[in-house]
Amino acid sequence: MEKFYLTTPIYYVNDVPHIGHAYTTILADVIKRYKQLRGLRVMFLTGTDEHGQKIERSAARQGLTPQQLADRMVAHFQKLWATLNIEYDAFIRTTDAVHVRGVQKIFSRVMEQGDIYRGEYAGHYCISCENFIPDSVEETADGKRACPDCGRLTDNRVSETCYFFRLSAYGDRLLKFYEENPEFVTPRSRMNEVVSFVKMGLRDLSVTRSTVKWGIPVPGDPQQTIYVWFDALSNYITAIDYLGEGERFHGLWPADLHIMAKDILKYHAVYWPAFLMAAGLPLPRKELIHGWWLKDEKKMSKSSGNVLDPHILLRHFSPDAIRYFLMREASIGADGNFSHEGFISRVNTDLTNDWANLVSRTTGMIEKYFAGEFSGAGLYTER
Amino acid sequence: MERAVLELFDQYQFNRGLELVFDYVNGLNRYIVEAQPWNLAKEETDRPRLAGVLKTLCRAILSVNALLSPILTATTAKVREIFRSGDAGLGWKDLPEEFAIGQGTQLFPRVDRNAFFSEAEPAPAASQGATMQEPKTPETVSPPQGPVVPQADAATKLSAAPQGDAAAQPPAAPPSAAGEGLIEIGDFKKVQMVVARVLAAEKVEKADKLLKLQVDTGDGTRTLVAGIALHYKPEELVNRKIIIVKNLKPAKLRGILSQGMILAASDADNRPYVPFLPEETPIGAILK
Repeated sequence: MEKFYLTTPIYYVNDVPHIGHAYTTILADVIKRYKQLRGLRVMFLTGTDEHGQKIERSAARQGLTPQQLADRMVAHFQKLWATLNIEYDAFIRTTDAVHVRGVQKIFSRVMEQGDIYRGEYAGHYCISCENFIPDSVEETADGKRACPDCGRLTDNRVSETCYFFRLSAYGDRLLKFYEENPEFVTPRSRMNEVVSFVKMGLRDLSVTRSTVKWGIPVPGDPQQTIYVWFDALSNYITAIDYLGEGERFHGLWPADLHIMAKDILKYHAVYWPAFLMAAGLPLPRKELIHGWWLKDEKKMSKSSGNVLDPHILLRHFSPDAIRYFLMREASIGADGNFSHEGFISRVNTDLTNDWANLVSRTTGMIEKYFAGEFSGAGLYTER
Repeated sequence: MERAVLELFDQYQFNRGLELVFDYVNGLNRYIVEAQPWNLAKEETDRPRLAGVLKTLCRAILSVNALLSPILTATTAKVREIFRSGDAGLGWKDLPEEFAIGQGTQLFPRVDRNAFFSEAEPAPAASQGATMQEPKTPETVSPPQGPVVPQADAATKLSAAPQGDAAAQPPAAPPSAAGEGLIEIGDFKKVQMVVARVLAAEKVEKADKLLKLQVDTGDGTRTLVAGIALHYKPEELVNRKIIIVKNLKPAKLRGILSQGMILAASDADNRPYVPFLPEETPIGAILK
């Protein structure tokens, strides 16, 4: 039986699960079940991203250790997935020993190969995105820079010794790969974004931090922890025993499908393939990029207070109704719009009026007209 | 249908695939109306054809069910149970020779709009949506005990034997009104219900559920739009005598001005049952 290995991103435990997490995970579960229906042997991986400065700080605020905070949040995710009938085959946590050691293994391998080197970093750092802000971003009059990912202004400057990944050496190889695999990123508009990003030129990427304690130590240099994206992306291989690199790993890798929202496209379609090339591993076959869920045509965000809580929906709707609405209304590539009115009428119209009604009328007529003497054989067939 | 759906699913275009599936489901609902199993049930000689219609429906339902199974995980398992079908795979299904159906359950109970909105959007007033039979008035926000409740009650009481296939299902419980829900006779009298004869009926283009009716109310003719097309064919209505609400504010539906509404009972699945009055009932007679 042909295998199909699919993944969701691992979710950052700084946040409770919202409708965006639910959508990505339901989409993955629907694809899993569909591929099974088509006769494939599916491995479906999801999990949680638990390291980084944000977790360190939230935990401290709540008087918890980072691990305690992570454990609590993981329970929220797992409970929601069970309620929504998500049947993942593996759940990876970046604090799992197998992950920690797997990340150290790929890190060491890339370093031995020469594409991770020690250097000096000085500049702005966005704590929210755990991201260095490149010097190309213009500084405001009061010495702040806007994070290119989230747009927040920060004057948080760091200067430290750290390890860099030689991303600049991979531009041509990446472009060649995209050219040979034009369907690598779906939909095509997202593929084009990736190509233009790489064509603008790639700079080496800092992959460790010396000021973050809550992370995976660099092998042989425990003062440094591995940068969260290098850590997080590696979950796709550590979860299938990259550490052992035996039959299980080779039977499943490369992944057939990584699913994600558009905001983390760059990490998955540029950095991740480059890391894999440097480690001498095959690249994933396809990445499926979906849009965001808008609430009444506005982007949901914690700051605007319109984040949709799946638990409220679950008090009124069956998991099936939620799964149906999200699959029916979202078009891959575009943002989906969520309104309570749209939700209720979609469910009442399609599922109750049309589908459930068809089933109940048919069974009702069989009971009424044939009362238990309805045989499937030898009947006149209409079509 | 199946091949087109699979092609879309293969490209992860679940929204478009599901659209096709539900077009097909609507087609099956129309097939029931066209085949009129309730008429086939009247004649012994029509029994084989009746069985054929029902068997076709069963097979089609199970095929659709397989396509829906990645999405509706729990309900599609229930449907397989009802039809005692162990086959969860794709394709046009044969039915087992020893075919029997299990106890039906309510697959998707109707969601209580008011309860949902009061939690999901506590602050702003939620708009009351139209039921299937009730033409949506542009003003909306009719209180839950608006015309819907007396309509359903009256229709149930007045109904000549409702036609159709459903085993006696209890009518949908009226939404609980604030307080004890009792009204004054004066409130009831505000609703002018009269007997009308259907002069003409036709489907509304691009609206699966709507029929446009021309009715004679004794003092003139008027146009009504009714959401009953999935269950009634135009020719089933022509020349029949029905009850209409005469003094409802006109509302535009699909560009057609509906002057009033017809009365129908409605079950938990929102299937309408239109009461037809005896031929001798005078047109324009007032219901009170």
